[in-house]
Amino acid sequence: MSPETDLSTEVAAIVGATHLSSLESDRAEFSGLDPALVVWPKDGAEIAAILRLANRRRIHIAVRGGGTGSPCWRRPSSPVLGLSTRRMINIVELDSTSGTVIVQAGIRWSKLCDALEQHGLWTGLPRDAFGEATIGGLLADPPANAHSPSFGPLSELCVSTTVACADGSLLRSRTAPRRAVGPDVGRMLLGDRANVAILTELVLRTRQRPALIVPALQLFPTLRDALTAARAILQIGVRPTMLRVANQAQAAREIGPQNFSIPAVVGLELAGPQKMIDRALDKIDEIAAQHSGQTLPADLAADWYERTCSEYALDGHSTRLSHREALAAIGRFTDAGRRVWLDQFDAHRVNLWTESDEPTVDAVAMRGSRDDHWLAAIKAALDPHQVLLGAQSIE
Amino acid sequence: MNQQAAITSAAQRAIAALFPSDRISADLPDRIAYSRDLWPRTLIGLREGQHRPFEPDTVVWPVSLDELRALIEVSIEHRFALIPFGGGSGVCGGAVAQNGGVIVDLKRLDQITQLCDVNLLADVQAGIIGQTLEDQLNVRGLTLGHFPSSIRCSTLGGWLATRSAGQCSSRYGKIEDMVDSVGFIDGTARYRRVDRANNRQQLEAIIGSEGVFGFITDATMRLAHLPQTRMFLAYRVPSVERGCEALRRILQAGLRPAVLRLYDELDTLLSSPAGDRSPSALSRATHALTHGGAGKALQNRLLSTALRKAGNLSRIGANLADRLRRGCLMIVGVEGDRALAEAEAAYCHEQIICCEGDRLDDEIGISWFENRYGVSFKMSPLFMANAFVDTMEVAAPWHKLMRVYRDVHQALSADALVLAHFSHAYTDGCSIYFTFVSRGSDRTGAQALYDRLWQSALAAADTAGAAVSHHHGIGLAKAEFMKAEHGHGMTTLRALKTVFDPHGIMNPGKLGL
Ligand SMILES: Cc1cc2nc3c(=O)[nH]c(=O)nc-3n(C[C@H](O)[C@H](O)[C@H](O)COP(=O)(O)OP(=O)(O)OC[C@H]3O[C@@H](n4cnc5c(N)ncnc54)[C@H](O)[C@@H]3O)c2cc1C
Repeated sequence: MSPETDLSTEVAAIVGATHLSSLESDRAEFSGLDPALVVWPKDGAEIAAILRLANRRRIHIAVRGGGTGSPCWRRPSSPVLGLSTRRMINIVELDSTSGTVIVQAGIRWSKLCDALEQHGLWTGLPRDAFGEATIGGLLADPPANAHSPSFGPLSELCVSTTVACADGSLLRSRTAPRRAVGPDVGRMLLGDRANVAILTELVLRTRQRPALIVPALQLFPTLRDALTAARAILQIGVRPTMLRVANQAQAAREIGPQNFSIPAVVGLELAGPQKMIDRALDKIDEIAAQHSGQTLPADLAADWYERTCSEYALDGHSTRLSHREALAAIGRFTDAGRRVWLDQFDAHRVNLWTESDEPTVDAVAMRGSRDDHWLAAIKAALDPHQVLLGAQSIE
Repeated sequence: MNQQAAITSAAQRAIAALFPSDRISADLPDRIAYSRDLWPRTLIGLREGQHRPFEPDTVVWPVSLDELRALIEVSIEHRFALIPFGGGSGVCGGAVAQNGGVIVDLKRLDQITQLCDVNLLADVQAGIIGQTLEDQLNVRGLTLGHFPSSIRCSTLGGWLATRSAGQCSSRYGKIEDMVDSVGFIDGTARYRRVDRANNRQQLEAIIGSEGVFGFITDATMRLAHLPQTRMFLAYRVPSVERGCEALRRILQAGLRPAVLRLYDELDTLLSSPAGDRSPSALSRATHALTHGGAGKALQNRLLSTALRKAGNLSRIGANLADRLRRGCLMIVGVEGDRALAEAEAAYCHEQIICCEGDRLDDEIGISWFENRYGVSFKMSPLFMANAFVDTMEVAAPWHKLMRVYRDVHQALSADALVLAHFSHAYTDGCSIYFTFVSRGSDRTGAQALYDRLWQSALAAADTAGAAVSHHHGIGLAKAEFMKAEHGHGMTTLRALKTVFDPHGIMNPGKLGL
């Protein structure tokens, strides 16, 4: 018996003979890794068992969700098992009182949004934002656009987690809001990129789908005015569910080339009770006027909304900056033909996007860096045999 | 390294070499003063002469990161414990030297080093007292939005180390929502700046770590503009259930009023501004119990009678409240831009009316606001009168909340007078703040009863699905419940401990580590 056969027998004993494969086409899904086997576990218990096996046999595990990201795995010398969450697509429980939903990590974002909609619930982020990505993949390696001024970053969706730790144990964190019981271990493992644990089940908080969702669009003479107004809107306490600022070239893309003469826009989505939205719109108009802005017609706003929600593509390079840094950085983009836009706002910081990396070099210098030393130490403590390959996202 | 040996004289000399004489002390008065925080269990002992439950060897007051780093190095070399100490207002025995060691009082690190009113961010040193910070921000038209009742005696570092919650948490969030980055020196003397954008995982590990991994030395905090307007509304709702439903509807619709407070029937009757002021015996007795309003002799007599059968008193109180159909008081506070705040108030009003709420005089809300820090500091008369009082704050999802309320209430009621309010609500759940009053025959009896009450209440909370703390933290008091709370997550916490504090010098025994 070859070692691979031996391995497949052991893996089959965990997941069943039909849920693993050594076919070239399946292995190719783990680009550049060439795993000996690919396995499709059905739940966290099976993943934990596979991890225990991996520890025993000193093999490595690479994890794949929806396959929409571009993970970059390091190539180990010993054999690799590819683990895909594609069978883990169930909604385990939905509690409409708490507005929480327990889902398996392999459920795709669009499917999740559809299922929630049937129950009158939503996440606050656009359905098309991450279409085919899985919730496990999104929370393990959040994309740069996963943030709403009203709800915060994507990780805020997650109340608690069940993870399979590298040592093969299953860790379920308590589902309770905002605990003060030491570091929040469950939430700490979000963003981990399957480095020390694999997300298997998530408890997500949702909201009732609001009675009203209204887009609004404001025109400004300069990008600076638009950004300053956007900041003022947030800092006064208006909480849009989406907020974007775009320069002329990007605005033309978002609103349509016939509107190419628009120098800069602020686009928003507001959601909630009618009266709250009405007051918020009044306030937005007032603030826009203070910064030489003006409200664009509702049909244009609707058009913009349609496009930005359906084409939520990440076709640029983003840098997270403070508002002051962003104001300084946009001063450099005087060429109206080059696309520049800002999103993922909160009252303090914003993501600055540009078409290419090159002009943001100064801005990048302002950005902090990941503490790789700490990550390595945690890895050594929690995954001593380096079973999990983890993934370094290509940004 | 829970069993610390007393500090050797060589270690004492090494510490003394680091600090000028006015910033180090091994004098008895200081060792007594720093031998406890505000854990009520130690107050029971204090009443009967147990003056230094957790006596440290030395107290130091560093003024710089260099001093802290040097101290850590000496501590590693001589193997003694370091206990970060902020305001000492913690109520769980988190800032005490369980087996000797050095108390490191951080209150001299108290500067706002940078403030940007474009970004609404401030760099602040960790030892600053909360009210001092808020006052300095207010001068610039800004606020942190964090208002714990202990704001005048607690520090920024203490808040971050315990995941504190303020009274306006539904608008501004808890302290963990307000922090943008922290400066942190771990148990190997390594300083690191941990920010939300690049190191969210590490930030999540440091916030709430109660000093067991190292010192939070400074933080960049998110600010808001001072509100243009602030309004209060008060309601009476028929029951806790209906009141919670109103809270839930408001939050799940996406609103964020600054204050949402719901008192259960007995808390409404006794300690809220709308409480019963009628001269009934029970009312006077219990009011005296909680407010210390009666003369001392009368108070003692009332206490003895009332608390001899505290469980009965709870039931009588609950029945009385029921009979009088007093219902539950709810206070709503909105703030910010006037037009937005008014719209928010109008929506809250609609929801509360839908839940059978009756509008009361706004003055009740205003009066709560004016006295908002007061009630927590009126416990001393109870201790003086041989009783004890403590608070327990748990959190649960909405669908488990009523069970948690009933089960914890029941667990405590057999031996204590129990009041509760709901004051930190979220879209997915809420915290419940129980206050319980009881007394034992003597110190040993009182402490045994106190421990028993905590044990049964926490066990009830755990079984009903609540987190054992929402904002007070763990300290020593709840350390043995960490296993129930985290299960296998304790392995991860222990791994974090070995990474941050491999020598085991930082605040041993807390968080069950
Ligand atoms: C009357 C009263 C009312 C209260 N009201 C509230 C309330 O409304 N909301 C609320 O959340 N809490 C409340 N508390 C509890 C208490 O005030 C909080 O837990 C507070 O966060 C503690 O801050 P502190 O500075 O006093 O910390 P301390 O009590 O000094 O320390 C608490 C813990 O944090 C650690 N620590 C302190 N500073 C640092 C640091 N810089 N780095 C690392 N570790 C550190 C200590 O070692 C200890 O483990 C109240 C307490 C009292 C007595």
